[in-house]
Amino acid sequence: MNFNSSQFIERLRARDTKTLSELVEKYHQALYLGALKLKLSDDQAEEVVQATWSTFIENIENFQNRSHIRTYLFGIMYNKVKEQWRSNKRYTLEHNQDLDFAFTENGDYRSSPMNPDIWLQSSQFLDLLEKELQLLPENQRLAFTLKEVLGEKTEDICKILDITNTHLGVLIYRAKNQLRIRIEKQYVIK
Amino acid sequence: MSLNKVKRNIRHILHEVVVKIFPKSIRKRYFLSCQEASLMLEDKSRLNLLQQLKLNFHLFICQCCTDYKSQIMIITQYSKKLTQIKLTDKQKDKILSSQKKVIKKINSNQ
Repeated sequence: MNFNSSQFIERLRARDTKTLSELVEKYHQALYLGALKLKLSDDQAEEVVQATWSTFIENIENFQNRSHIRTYLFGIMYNKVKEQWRSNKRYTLEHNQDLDFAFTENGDYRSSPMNPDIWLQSSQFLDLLEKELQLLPENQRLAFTLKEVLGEKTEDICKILDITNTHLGVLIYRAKNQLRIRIEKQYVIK
Repeated sequence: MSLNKVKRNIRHILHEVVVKIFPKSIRKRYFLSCQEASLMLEDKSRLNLLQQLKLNFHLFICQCCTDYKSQIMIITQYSKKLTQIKLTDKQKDKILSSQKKVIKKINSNQ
């Protein structure tokens, strides 16, 4: 089935059960996997995906066909994930370090970035990156994960998060800087 | 001494030379600061020719920004590896049963 055709959209709006079921069969696993990649547990992923379908079906009239149905569904799912993060105490905003502290007023680094060769000598780098990613503020974390981890298109991410291209750039810049500063700190401590 | 160390030393020397030769006002006007360079590195496709030249020159003489660029590259490359999830049989069953639940709900609403 062509999920972009006007015929499909009409059937969706009419809440045709066969069409809706086909859509669920097509995207249910992808949504579930997406939630797992955002580090939700199996139970949380199931909850989020169920909630995504409920919201989608309840508000089916709002789907304007301006974006692909996949983008629209993932947009709902990512918002549900954000809600899940908020309700999860592990994901607090305690590490929202202001990046202005990384530079002097002349725009020089306060402390020189370390030579990252040392990062690659350690087998734990990937674990460390994953751990630090969980601690980023939720908007930065979601923007970074969508762009760099899941490889979503910039245009789609902007639609999903309802932000401009410039704002997305700022979020990702800040996320990367937070990550590198926090990873550096771990290596200095070691 | 490794090639990398030689390059690092050359960059440090060049940086010192630029700082000593050009007064702060000139540097501020014609050269990039590290903060500006780090921002430009985020999306090089948006830069015009002059900005690209300024960025390349800055990277040529600044070891801090060269290390910064490498750090960001490593973070970006390794982030791609975080997607690898292999579903267990239990998870596959869970997905299937949760999918059936949704379809059942759709059918029961009609």
